[in-house]
Parts: sequence; C-alpha cells; structure tokens
Amino acid sequence: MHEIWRELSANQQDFLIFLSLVLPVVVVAFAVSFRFAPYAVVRSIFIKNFTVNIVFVAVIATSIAISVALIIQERAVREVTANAVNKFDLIVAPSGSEITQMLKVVFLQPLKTNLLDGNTLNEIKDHPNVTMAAPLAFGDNWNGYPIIGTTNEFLNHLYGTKDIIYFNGLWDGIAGVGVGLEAGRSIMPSHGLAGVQQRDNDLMAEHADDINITQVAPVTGTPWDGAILVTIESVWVVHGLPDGHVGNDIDKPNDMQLGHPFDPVSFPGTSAVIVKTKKLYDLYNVREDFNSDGLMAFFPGNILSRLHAVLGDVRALFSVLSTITQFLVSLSIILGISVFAKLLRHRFALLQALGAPRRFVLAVMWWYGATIIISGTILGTLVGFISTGIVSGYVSELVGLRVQGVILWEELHLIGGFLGITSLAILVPAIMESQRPIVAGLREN
Amino acid sequence: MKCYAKDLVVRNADDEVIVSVDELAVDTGGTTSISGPSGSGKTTLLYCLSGLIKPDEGVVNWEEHNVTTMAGNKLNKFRRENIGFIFQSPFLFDELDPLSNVTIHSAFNTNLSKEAVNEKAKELLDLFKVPLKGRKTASVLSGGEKQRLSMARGLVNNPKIILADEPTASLDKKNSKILMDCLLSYHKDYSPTLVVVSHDSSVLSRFTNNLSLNQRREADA
Repeated sequence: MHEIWRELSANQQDFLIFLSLVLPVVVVAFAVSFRFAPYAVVRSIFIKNFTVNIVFVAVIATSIAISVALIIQERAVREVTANAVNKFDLIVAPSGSEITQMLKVVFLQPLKTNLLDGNTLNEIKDHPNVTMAAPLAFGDNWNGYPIIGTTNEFLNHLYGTKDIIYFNGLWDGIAGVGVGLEAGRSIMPSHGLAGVQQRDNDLMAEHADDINITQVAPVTGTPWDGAILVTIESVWVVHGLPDGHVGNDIDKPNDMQLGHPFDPVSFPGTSAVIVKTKKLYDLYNVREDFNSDGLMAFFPGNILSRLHAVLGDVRALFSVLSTITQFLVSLSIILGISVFAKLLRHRFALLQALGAPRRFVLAVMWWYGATIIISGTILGTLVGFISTGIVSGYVSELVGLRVQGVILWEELHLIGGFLGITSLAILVPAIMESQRPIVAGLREN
Repeated sequence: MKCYAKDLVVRNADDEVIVSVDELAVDTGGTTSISGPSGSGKTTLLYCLSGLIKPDEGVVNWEEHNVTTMAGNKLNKFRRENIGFIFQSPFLFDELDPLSNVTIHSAFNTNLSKEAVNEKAKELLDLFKVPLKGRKTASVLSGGEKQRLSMARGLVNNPKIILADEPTASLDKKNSKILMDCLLSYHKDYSPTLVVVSHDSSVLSRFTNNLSLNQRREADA
C-alpha cells in the first residue's frame, strides 16, 4: 500500500487526500438520504427563516474567506519574493546589514549604504571562479521610479538571452515594464533615491542630460519591473564624476567604452556587485574570499529564507488561530441550527405522524445544516480568492512585486477537512432531533 | 381495516387516568366518532389508536396488528402504509406550493411512485375543491382550502384507516360542512375505516356510531 502511494504523483496524492477529506460528506449524505428525497422539506425550512439562514451562511463564508485569503496571500508573497531573489545568487557590498543590502539591491528600497571602490570590483571580477561581477549604482529617480546604473552583462543576466536587451550608448535607458515608458521617450533624472527626501540643497536637483529610453524590458515579476536601468557610467557622469574609464570622450557617447574593464583610479564607486560563478559551489568560495574587513558577501536567498521562516511562524500562528476560529464558528452554527430546530419540531412530528421514519427527519436536519455549511464554504472560498486578488493588487503596487494568488491543494485540503468534520458534527443535532417524542412535537406550536 | 381496542388506560406523569376506554370496535370500512368535552382525552385516544401513544394498560389491534406493542420502524411503516392523519390545524409547509404539500409523502414513502402520488394528489385536490392555479405557495390559500389541502395530504397514501382529530375545529360552519362532505364522499368512494374526534354536534350528527368520553380534566390533553 505504502509503495503504491509513493508511486503516485504529488497531484494524485493531493487529489486522494482531498477526496478522503470530503468523503464523510458523500458517505453521510448517501447514508441519511438513501431512498428518501428530503430536498423539498429542506427547501421549505430554508425559505421559512431565510434571513437567519443567510446570516449562518455569511458567518461561515467569512471565516473560510479569511483562512483561504491568508494562506493564498502568504504563499504568494513567499513565492514572489523567492522569485525576486532568484537572479541574485551572491551580493558583495560594503559591510553593514545584510537585510538592508538585500532590501536595497533586490527589492530596490530607498536605503542609503556605503560604496565599494574600483579595486574591489576588479578583484571580484578577476576571481578565477567569477563569471560576472556586475556593479550597481543607485542614486537617481524619474517620477519616483528608481534609476539604476549597471552594465550590459547584468542586463543579459536579468532579462535572459531570449530578448536582446542592451545599452548601445552612454545615455541609453531600459524602462521596466511597470514604469509605463515607451521606447523613444526621453527622461530627465531627478537626484536622490526614490522615496528619500532630498536634503542636500547644494546638490543639483535635476540633471541637464537626457536619458533616452531605447527598449522596454520584459516582465520579470520583480521590483525591477518598476525601475529604469541606465549605464553605470551615465549615473557617474550626471553627478559630475569620472566615468570609470581612461580615454572615453564624453562628447562621443555612442563610441564610449561601457562596462568592464574599469579603471580603479577613476572609478567613483558602486553600491553593490552582483556575482555569478561557473559552478554553484564556487559561490561559497567567493563568499569566503570577500567576507573580509569592510566587505561582506552574502546569499540574499539565505536572508530571505530566514525572513520566510519568521513569516512561516507567523503563518503557523495564524493557521492555529484560523482553525480555532473555524471550530468556534462551526460550533456556533451547529448550536444555532440546534436552537432553530426547536421551531421545526412541529413539522418533524407531523412528518413522523404521517409515517416518516426517524431517519427521514435526520436526513432533513442534516441536509439543512449541510446546505448552510456547503453554501458558506463555497461562498467563502470564492470571496477568499477574489479578496486575495484585490489584496495582491495592492501589495503589488506597494512593493513592486507581481503577487498573484491562486488556489492550490493546500486550500482545497483545508476546505475539504472543514466540510468533512462539520458534516459529521451536524449529525449530532440531526440525530437528537430525530429521536424526539412525536406527540410532544405535535402538541408544540 | 377492522379496529378493536380493549381496556385502554392512559395515565399522565402524576399517574392520574386521563383516558379510560373499556372497548372500541370499528368494522372494516366503518365509521365512528369520538366525542367529549375539552380535556376528556379524545386526542390522546386517537394517538393511542395510531400507536403514537402507548397506553399504560390495554391493547389496540388493527386486524392482526397490535399497535400497542409495535415500535420503531415497524410502527412507522404501519402508519405510513395504513393510516391517514387529519389534524385540527392544517400544519402545512407554507413555503411550498399546494401540490408539493400533498405529495410530501413521496419524499419518504418508498413504496409510492412519485408519479402515482402526483396523480392521486391532483385527484384529491380536485375532489376537495382546492385550487392549484395561481397558488405559488400554500400560504395564499384560505382557511377552508388549507384544511382541505391538509386532508388531501393525509389521504394521498390511500390509507385503510383515517384518523381525524377535530378536523373542523378551525373552520366556520360553511367550510366545516364542505370539509365533512368531502371526507364522507371520499369514504363512500374508497371505504377506509374512519375515526373522527370532534365536539361539534353538526359533525357528530353525521355518524351513527359514537364513543363519548365524558370525563373532563383540568388540563387539556
């Protein structure tokens, strides 16, 4: 049996788990209503106190929606942040906070950090295991969208080789898809990190030089979709700094050398270097070699994992709270249905006086409760999913991440478990109601 | 179906006798009325005859079926297949249409086909002059129509026994007469054994056999 289970695909296993969770609903439904048709009576009960029943459905729907939305949103944020960090195997930056550097480099948060010099960049570039050492320069923005200086090799790394995205000249700019700029537009960068209030009045607020948007980058689903990438040399030049090379003529921007090799003497500095190696395990050697005084090399994936672990703990807490809430909601609804059943006793007694078996009363009561619970669960799942979409849109706008929530097996298992347990729990008031004395019921009213 | 009840005694929780009947016999297809003042135990006796209440002493036999010892599913089955109940109040499912109220039997009576029940229901509603057209729910019917609808519901299973508990109590004279005419007309056509509880003299006058329960209690049964 164990072997057969292991041979099944993950989807098949999830499907079978889901089936086993909802199996009690099917079994109980079949068992209580075998050879009966209690639906007309159930319909009449549902209509009889429509408002109360709708409130029952709404309470269940709300509880399910919150649980589903929480799970979907948490997973979506986890996945999208993991995707964002995917292109940043190793970051070398001036020593400080790894989290700050990760937020600045990967998530483009407007945080101030120190700079690395040209010798360090060249050392990294010349490391035998390194295949890419891409410097990044932050500092300007356009209408709040960060402008980031970098090199063609980083463009190739970030966007892949499918779409050929590159800088041809000093003033070329690549607009992220979320910026809303089209190729052919010119922009004037403003000084200062996006979101950081400019305090230095001596600094020129706007640069006279225009950046020409030559291409729009493909979607990455990361905050970089909301950035404008320019040559790192142009970032330095607009700040009145050397361009990092010897012999470049600023008046011939399309004939200038761009990217490596940089001259360490005329190199103004870089916020961080993104490193790629030949083999995965080489990253560890590089990290060892550049974790020295004044430098730090770190895997942003590790930092994110730690954040995810914290997020996971919070989510586990939410799961427990959500389970307790669902339990309490179910209990309240079942108690509510039990109390409401008092008003139906005369009808049940009448049916039994006409010859309906006790199991028929049980079937009516169970189907009545199950209708409320199933309706609430389906509605809650839909509301949870839709609200996730709305929240995702908000989060996407807030942090620049392309958060998309989808319903997966995890939610279906939660829903299936809820249905399975409540379908059994609803049997309790149904059995109690079916066992009440008929004559007492007939005399109630 | 022939009824024979003997030495029936029903006591309340305080052990006071609330019903005491030495003998009640109704022939197959016969009719009888049970009369008496409020609180004399008429309804309790009717429930005894149907097996809904077990007497403390005595026996109720419907031919070879002793409903005083019968219990559970067997008793339900006996009631479902043989007894048609008509109550003092219509006790309808107001949210359902008139036809669905009458055919409610087919929801639990597995021996009856839905089509047969539907056909019978329409026939009874026609016979009892309950209009279907334009009546989306039973709640829109008049009091007399509701009671006749309730009677049709009790008879849709072609019962061999009809037990009617003050069927005209909630009706005016005109509707009371219509209902009794319908009931007796049905009895004439199908000849079930008919037991009617009533304290209405106009109803009782239509029965030749009568059992009078004269003992009056403080509390109504």
